Amino acid sequence: MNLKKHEHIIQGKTASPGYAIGRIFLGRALPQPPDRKGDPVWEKKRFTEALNTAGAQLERLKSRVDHLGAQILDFQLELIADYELTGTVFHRIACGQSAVEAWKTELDVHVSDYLAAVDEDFRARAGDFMDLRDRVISLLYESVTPFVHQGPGTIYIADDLAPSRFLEIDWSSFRGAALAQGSAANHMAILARARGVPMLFGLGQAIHELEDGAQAILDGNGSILIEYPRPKTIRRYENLISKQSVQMQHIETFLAKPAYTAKGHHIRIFINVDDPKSLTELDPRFCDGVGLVRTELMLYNPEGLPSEEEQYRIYANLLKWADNRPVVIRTLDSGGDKSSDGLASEGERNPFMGLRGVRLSLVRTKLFRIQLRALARAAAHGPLKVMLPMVTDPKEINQVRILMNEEVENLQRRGVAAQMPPLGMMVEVPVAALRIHAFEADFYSVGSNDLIQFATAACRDCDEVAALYDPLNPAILELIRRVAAHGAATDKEVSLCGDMAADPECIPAILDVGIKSLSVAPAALAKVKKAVSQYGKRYG
Amino acid sequence: MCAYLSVGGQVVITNRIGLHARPAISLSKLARTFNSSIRISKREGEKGVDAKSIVRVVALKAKVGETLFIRAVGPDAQVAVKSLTTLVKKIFEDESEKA
Repeated sequence: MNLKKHEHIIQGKTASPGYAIGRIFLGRALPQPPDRKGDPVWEKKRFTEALNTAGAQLERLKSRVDHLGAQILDFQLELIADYELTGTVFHRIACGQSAVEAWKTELDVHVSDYLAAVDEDFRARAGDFMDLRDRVISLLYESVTPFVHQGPGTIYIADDLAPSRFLEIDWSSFRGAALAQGSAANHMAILARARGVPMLFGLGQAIHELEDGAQAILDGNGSILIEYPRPKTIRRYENLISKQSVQMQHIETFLAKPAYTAKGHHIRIFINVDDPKSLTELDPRFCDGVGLVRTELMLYNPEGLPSEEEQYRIYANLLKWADNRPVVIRTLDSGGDKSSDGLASEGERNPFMGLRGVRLSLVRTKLFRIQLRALARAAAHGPLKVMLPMVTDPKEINQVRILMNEEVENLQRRGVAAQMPPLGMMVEVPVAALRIHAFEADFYSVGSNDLIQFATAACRDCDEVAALYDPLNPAILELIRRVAAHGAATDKEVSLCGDMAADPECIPAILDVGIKSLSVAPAALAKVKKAVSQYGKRYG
Repeated sequence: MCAYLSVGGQVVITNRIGLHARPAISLSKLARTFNSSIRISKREGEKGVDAKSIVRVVALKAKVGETLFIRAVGPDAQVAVKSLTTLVKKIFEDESEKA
């Protein structure tokens, strides 16, 4: 037994860098203390208390999350209130089962019923039942032995995280996260990096050996999780963290200032947004606007896309936050690694190059038109711009322009305030970068992640070819230079969004080829502005 | 003993992903506002499940193209069936916009 308490290392993969020292919090796994069964009267009381507490917790959580999150929690709240569910549990308790046994048996019946469903949307309900099952069970145990796990300073450990679940979690109370699987690793990486949450994935079965509450170090730079670290190890990481925080404090002094190069050229820094909640703590004056809204993440809902009205409210709120600064909203980019919303076609051998982005939108026009209407309505309130992902053929822009025109006219005819927003494109397909003059877009944004992946024929999430996926490959920089030059010649804005925009090592090369706008995760703002301020120092 | 007539109605599911969590919540919530006993099934004449229970309603796993048969017995059976079929139609009109 003692052997297990020794320092040991679990290897994972990095989704989001950074260090965290804290206690293990097992997000999904059940706590294992022996179930000390009392008499039915006591078990009944214990169960009622746990249900009430679970209800109160979910209500509290609901008041904190956005509308879509609230709908997910609503379902669990309804389940708690349903006597068809709890009545059976009370009956089992009266027959002599413990509260834990009775609740688990009953809920598992539902979980396996939904897991067996043919329809994917119904299979997803199993997750709701499991979520509620585990919450109530951990509360039942808590009423036996107080369980110290949650609260600030913990490292969240789970098998996997659905994007919606990630959005639910209050990341201010966790220092980091490590996942056994991480099927949506790329997806999670974007969300985690935007919040500066260190995160590992792909730890495998090893997480089931972890002990709840044990001390651990998450090293998002070295891709490892260390359980029961030796004092020496802890000191080493404390040093790393304090060094990092000194650096951070220095970097933070750049946050509130506009970005100027050493030679005095203004570089506009926009932010990437995938969740409106990430904006609540950010002063809009710290950026020049929103350069990329990933609507497939923002609108994510296991039950289908939000209505026109809901989307309109979301877009209008972004404009309100930006306070007259431009907001670039990218239309749905489902597909590729982001097919979890069930919109993209399945079974494609190479989904990154399949029916995704604007290609999918032009096939699913009914859905697309809803988004266009919501965007046109929001555009009447401020400087909203619309950006199309995965544009490959100049015709695609013209087709969208026709659809958008039709929707704007229809809305105006009905007396609804609407306006035709500027229509821009992501430049992420090499043929588009090479032939940029043929694309009649109002503005351009280089999507470096996909552009590099397609141009080097090396995917982002394959370690073995990671060295080939090189943002600084001269051919990549040449593609970016062409887009920047076309923008300068036609007086159209060209920005760069993608991970390389936030990488201090790439920023000089990006500015070298003529890019004057960057769009980065909010957590990277200060770091990027600092890197910009040093650009040109050596020469000037 | 006062016997109430049993009132029936039916409605076809037209949205892509069927009677999922959100519509099921609306349906069971509305059903609970009536005094009548209300049951809902996927085949005519079947006993069906209690429409006031979210657990039972979702467990129907009713999909697009299937018909919901609503049967109510009680003092407000008539209005209950009418309101519920109207609600389901309305939900699916809204939902099919999205899907």
